[in-house]
Amino acid sequence: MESRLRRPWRAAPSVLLSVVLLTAACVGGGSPTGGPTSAETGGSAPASAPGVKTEGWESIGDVTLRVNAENASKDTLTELAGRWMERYPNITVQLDFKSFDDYMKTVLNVADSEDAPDILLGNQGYVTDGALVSGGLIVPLDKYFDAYGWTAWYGAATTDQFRFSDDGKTFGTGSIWGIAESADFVGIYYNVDKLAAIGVEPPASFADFETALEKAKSEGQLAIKLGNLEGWPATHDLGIAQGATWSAQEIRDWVFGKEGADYTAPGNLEAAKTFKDWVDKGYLSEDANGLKYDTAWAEFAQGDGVFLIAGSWLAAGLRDAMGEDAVGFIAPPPGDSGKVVAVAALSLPFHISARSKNQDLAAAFLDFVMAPDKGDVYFKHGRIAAAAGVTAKPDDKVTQQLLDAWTRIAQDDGLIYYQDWATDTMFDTITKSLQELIGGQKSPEEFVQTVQDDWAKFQDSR
Amino acid sequence: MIGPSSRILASTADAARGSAPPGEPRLVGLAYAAPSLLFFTVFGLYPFVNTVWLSFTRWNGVGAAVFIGPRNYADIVSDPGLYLAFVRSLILVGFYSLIPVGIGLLLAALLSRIPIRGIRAFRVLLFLPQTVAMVVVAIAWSWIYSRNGALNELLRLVGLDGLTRAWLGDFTWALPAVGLVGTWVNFGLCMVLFVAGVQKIPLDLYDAARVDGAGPVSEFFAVTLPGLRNEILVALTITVIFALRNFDLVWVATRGGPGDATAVPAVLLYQLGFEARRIGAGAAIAVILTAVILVVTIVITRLGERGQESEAAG
Repeated sequence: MESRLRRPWRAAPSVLLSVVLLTAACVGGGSPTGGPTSAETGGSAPASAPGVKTEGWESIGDVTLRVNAENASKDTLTELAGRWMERYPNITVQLDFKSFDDYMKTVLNVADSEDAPDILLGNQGYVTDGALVSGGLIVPLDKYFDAYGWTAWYGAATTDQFRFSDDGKTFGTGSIWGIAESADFVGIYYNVDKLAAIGVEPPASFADFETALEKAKSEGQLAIKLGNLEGWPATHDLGIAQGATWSAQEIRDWVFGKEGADYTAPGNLEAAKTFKDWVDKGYLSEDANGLKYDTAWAEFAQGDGVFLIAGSWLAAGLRDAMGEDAVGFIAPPPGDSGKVVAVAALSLPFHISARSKNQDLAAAFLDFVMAPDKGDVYFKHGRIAAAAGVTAKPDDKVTQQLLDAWTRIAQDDGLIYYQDWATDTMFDTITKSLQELIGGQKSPEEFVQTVQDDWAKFQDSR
Repeated sequence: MIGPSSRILASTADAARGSAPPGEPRLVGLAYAAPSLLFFTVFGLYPFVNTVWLSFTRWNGVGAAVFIGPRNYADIVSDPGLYLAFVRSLILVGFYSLIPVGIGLLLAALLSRIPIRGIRAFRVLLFLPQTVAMVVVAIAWSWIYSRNGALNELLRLVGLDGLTRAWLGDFTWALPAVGLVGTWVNFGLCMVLFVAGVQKIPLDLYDAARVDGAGPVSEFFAVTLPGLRNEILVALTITVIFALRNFDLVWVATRGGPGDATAVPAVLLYQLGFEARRIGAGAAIAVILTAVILVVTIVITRLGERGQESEAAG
C-alpha cells in the first residue's frame, strides 16, 4: 500500500508531463550565450572561463564518472547518460539509484567516504545540503554557472535555494553549491464535474476560491479533501492561504533565517486564521488527522471532494485515475497582491563532490543533462524541465495547465519553498503544530508562535 | 543438526572430564565463549560505548564530532517533551504489558481447568499475532481504525454512530488505540507462557486445594498464581521492554501524531537523531532510554526474587 509518494513535503514528480517552456520573467531577459545552439551541443555555447575545461572530452582517455541519485531522476538520467556516452565513447557514466528515504539516510556517509561519487544529489536546507557544505564534501558551482551561462536558465529565486555560506551555517546567501533540472510546485486540483455541479468556474482569485468553498459546503459537498496523518500534507493547504495574505519575499526571508523575519507576521497569522476557519467551517475532511495522504488523494480521484491542494507530482496519478477531462489544475489563486505565490522549489540538487578528480567533466555532464534542448526527454518521463528556453509543447490538457501554473509562479517570483527547510527540526515542529491547529489543541496565534520559537532558537544556536 | 554433532560434542566433553580435574581450564572456557564474545563486542558493546560517546558531542554525521560535555542531556532534561514521552511510554506499559499479562493469566486459568476441544488450534490462533511482522500489524490495524474501517463499521452496525471517528487521528484516542494493538500482539505470548507454566504445577497441589474446599478463584490465587511466578516475571520483562522501546508500531501507525499524542521516546530519538541529524542529541535519548529499561528490568527481577524469598521464609 505504501506508494512511491512517501517523500515528506514533496514527492517524486511522477507527472507525465509535456516539457515546460519556462519563459520566466525572473530569469532576467535571457542571455546571448544561453540556450542551445544545436540539438546535441550539450547546452549553451561554452564561454571561456578561466580554469574551467568545457570541451575536448573525447580526447581525455577512458574516464568513469560516477553519479548517485534518487529514483525520481532515474529515467531521465539513464536516457541522457546513454546519449552522452554515445557522444563520448571514452567516458563511462555509472549511475546508482536509491529510493528517497534510503538515499537521504545514507547520502552524507556516502559523500564522506573514500570512494565518494563524482556527482551526488542532496536536499535543500540545513539537514542535508548544509551538512554537505559545512563538511567540505562538495564544491561551489559558481564558476560553472559563468562558464556555461546557467544564470540565463535560472532566476534568483531558483538559485537562492542552492546558496549557502562556506561554513554551511547561513542558507540562501553565498556560493551556489547545487543545481536541479526540474520543478515541483503545489497548486489546486479540482474535480471538473463537481465544480460544474455547484456552478462555479475555476477560481481566479483567492476570494473566488473561498466563495467556491462556501458554495461547495452549502451544496453538501466536501470542499477540500485532506489526508494529514503524516502532518506535512496540510502545509500545502496552509501554503495556499499564506500565498494570499503573506508575501513571497517575506516567506523566503524567513526560510533563509534572515534577521527580523517573523512567522508571527500579520500576513501569516491571517493565513493561519484563514486555514483554521476552513477547518471550523467544515471545508476540510473531518478525519484529516487520521487519514493518510495516499488514501486521501486516491479517494479524491474516486470523486470525494471538489478540490485537492497538492503538488504537481500527483498530476499523472490523478489524470490516469480520473481521466484527462475530469480533473483540472490551477496555480494558487492570488490574493490582494495579484501575485501567484506557491509552495514550490526545484527538485533535489545535483552536487559535485569535493573528492572528485573530474569536477569539470562532472559539470559538463550536468550541463548536458539540464540543457533546454533536453526538454523532450523530461516530457517523455513525466518531469518538468526547469531551465528557461525549453521549446517543446505539452500535448495534453492537464499538462498544459501545469505548465501555465509554473510559468505564472516563476513570472511572479512566487516560489516560497518548503518551510521545513528553515531549521533542522522544523519538519517535526510545523507538522505537529499544524495537526494541533486542526485538532483545536492550538489556536492560530499559538501555532505561529510555536513555529517562530523553533526558528528563533535555531537562529540563536547556529 | 541436533543429532550426531551434539552427540560428538557430548562425548568429547565426557572424555575431557574424565582425564582432568573437575572444571575446564580457564582458557578453554574462554575459547568456547570467544565467538559470541566477539560478536557481542562488535555488535553490542562497541555500538553502545560509541553511542555513549556520541551523546556527549554535537555531530550531524559529517566530519568530526565536537565534544560538548553533558549539554545534550541538559537540553533534554530541561525540555518537558521527553518527560511527556516517558509518561506515554508508561501508559503503553499498561497496554502492552499489564493487560496482556492479565488476559494471559485469565486464559491460562480457564484453559487449565476446562478441557476444550481443539485446544492446540486455539492456542496457535491466539499466538499468531506474535509471529506477524510489526509493520504488517501496524498497517492492518490502521485500516481497522480508519474512518471507514472495521471498528467504525462495527460501531455503526450496533447503532453507536456517534462514537465513530478516525481513531488514530484523534488526540484523545490515538494512544489507547495504538496501545490496544500492543495488547493484541502480546497477550498470546503471555498466554502460551502461562499455559506451559500451569502444566508444571504438581497436580497434587490442586487436589490439596480442592480437599481444603477452595473454589476456582481461591485456587487460582493460592496455587496457579504462585506457581506461575517465574513465567509472569519473564512475560513482564519481555513485554515491558517491548513497550518502552517500541518504535515500529507507533511510527507506522501514527508517526507520533497527531501532534505529540503518541510521541514515545523512540520516536523522539528517531526524529532528532535521524531526521534532524542531531546525532548527539538522539544518542543522549538512546542512553537515557537504555538506562530506564535497565532499571525497570532490574526492579522487576528484584521484586520477583523478593517474592520468592518471602515465600520461602513464610
